[in-house]
Amino acid sequence: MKSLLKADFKRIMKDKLLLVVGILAVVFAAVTPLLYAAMFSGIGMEDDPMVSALISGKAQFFSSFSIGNNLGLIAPVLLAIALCKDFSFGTVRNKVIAGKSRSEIFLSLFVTCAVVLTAVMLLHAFLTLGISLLFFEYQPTAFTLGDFWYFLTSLAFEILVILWVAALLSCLCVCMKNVGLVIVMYIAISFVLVMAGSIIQVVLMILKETGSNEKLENVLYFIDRINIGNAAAYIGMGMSYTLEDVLYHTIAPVAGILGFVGLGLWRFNKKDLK
Amino acid sequence: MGSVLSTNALSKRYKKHLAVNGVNMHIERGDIYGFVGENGSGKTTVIRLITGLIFPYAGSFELFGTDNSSSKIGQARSRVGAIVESPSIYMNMSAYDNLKTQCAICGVGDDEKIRAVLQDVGLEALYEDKKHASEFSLGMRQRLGIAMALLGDPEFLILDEPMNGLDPSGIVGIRELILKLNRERGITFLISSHILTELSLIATKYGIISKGKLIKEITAEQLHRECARTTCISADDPQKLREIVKATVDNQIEDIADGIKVLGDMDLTALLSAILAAGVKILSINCGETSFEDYYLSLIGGAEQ
Repeated sequence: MKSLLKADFKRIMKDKLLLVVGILAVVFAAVTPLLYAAMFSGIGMEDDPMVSALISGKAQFFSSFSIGNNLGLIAPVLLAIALCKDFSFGTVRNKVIAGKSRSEIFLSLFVTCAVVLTAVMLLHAFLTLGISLLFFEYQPTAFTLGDFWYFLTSLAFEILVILWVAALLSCLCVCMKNVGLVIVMYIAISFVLVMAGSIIQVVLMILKETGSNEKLENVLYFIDRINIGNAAAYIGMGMSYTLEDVLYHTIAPVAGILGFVGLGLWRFNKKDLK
Repeated sequence: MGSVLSTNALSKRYKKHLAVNGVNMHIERGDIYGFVGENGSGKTTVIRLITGLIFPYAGSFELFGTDNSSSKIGQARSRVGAIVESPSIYMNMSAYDNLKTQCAICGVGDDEKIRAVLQDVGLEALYEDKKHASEFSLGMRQRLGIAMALLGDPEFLILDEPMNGLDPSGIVGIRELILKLNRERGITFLISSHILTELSLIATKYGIISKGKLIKEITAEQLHRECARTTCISADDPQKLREIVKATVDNQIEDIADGIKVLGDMDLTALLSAILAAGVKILSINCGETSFEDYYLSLIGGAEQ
């Protein structure tokens, strides 16, 4: 396993796509806060308390992890192209012929994907935070020790979401026949989850106001909370977490990670390689 | 000697198509096994089965005495190097980076090892060359693929159509490399090809496969005997003719209608003198030679019938 990880990291590090992802991480981190600053100062709302909560450094930092926009969508796609090269070039055969087990090969792929994606997203998020702090406050209220713990907890939840994405990508890489299908499937899944999240939130708002169907409201609320595509709407957007929040933010991604890793292992162990 | 590979009724089915049908092949240590068959005969599928890229539908195989269903098959595979269909190399990397990655996979070697394998395949100039593999010629890629397969110090090297697309000098280069590795390091080879003349220059044993079935396994020596010059003599007294031939020459003899078939070179003048002296009337004499191609085609034809 160690030798496979070494080989996988070596090839990913040598791939120019990683450099592209790195550049995009920096560009998006610089552009997004600048755009917000320009937009809100342009319409004269920078002093509005509601706006200042929305465009705070904290909000910028945690929304930069969203899987539905900017780097959150592009980084996994580019990483999928890099990871799938093992299949498109047929170099995965070298690993099988060298006597490595299918499970080891899949797990190495997953760990490499998880580490690289986490590193890129963290780089992007911290750069976004750093640049945001040049224009906005971290949050409208003073930063306390409780905020620090909230920050760390939220960061841990975001990393779980990234691991969920890595597990999904790895699973798609070994299940699909080519990189094009992997990309199409990944984008389709991300969009469906993000769109479902947005639609459900609107429906929930309407149901709450009308109070017409409590049962449906509960079901939709549950779906909304376990929807990883909508995690950005909940993680890092408050001041503290309830036990329910913690359970939703841990059980849903962990179940997803275990599910995708299990599916990937099962599928790859049965798959004939070209 | 010791067995390197032994398959037992190995079969592979793709939906309704039986690509490999009960193949029993045996490769001993030190063999250069020429795996011969027409396109689509199942050569690559057998190689894929052996290397673990695909799973058997039925049957089994033993690699260095380890059964394919054993948990230790991975260890046995680590003693194998292979190029299946085309060399598996990262096209976006240099030769050195490809080899470095392979070193990591095999858990072996360093820069000295890389330099040594590049020298083995005649690509030492690529050690410091940053050119990507996508810019290499087919021959260079083939050689790089062999270099990668050699990194793990394999005892058994499987090369699937290694001469495909190579120019004459490239073919000679690969052939000499195979002979050198077999002679100097005792590496056992399984080489699939449909270029029979090329295989006949290096193989010590052949497996002939057609329509997924291994129709013949034969040593180079046996093949040479079967393909050697043949003299067919028919006479009015075949029984007496046989006795005279047996007493005159040491060659292998086979019975044919009205006479005998003598395999291999011999002193034909002496034989004819002996026959005539014994008063046997010769009805006809036919001399000929069977090429490997003819032999192969007759086998394939037989299999088709």
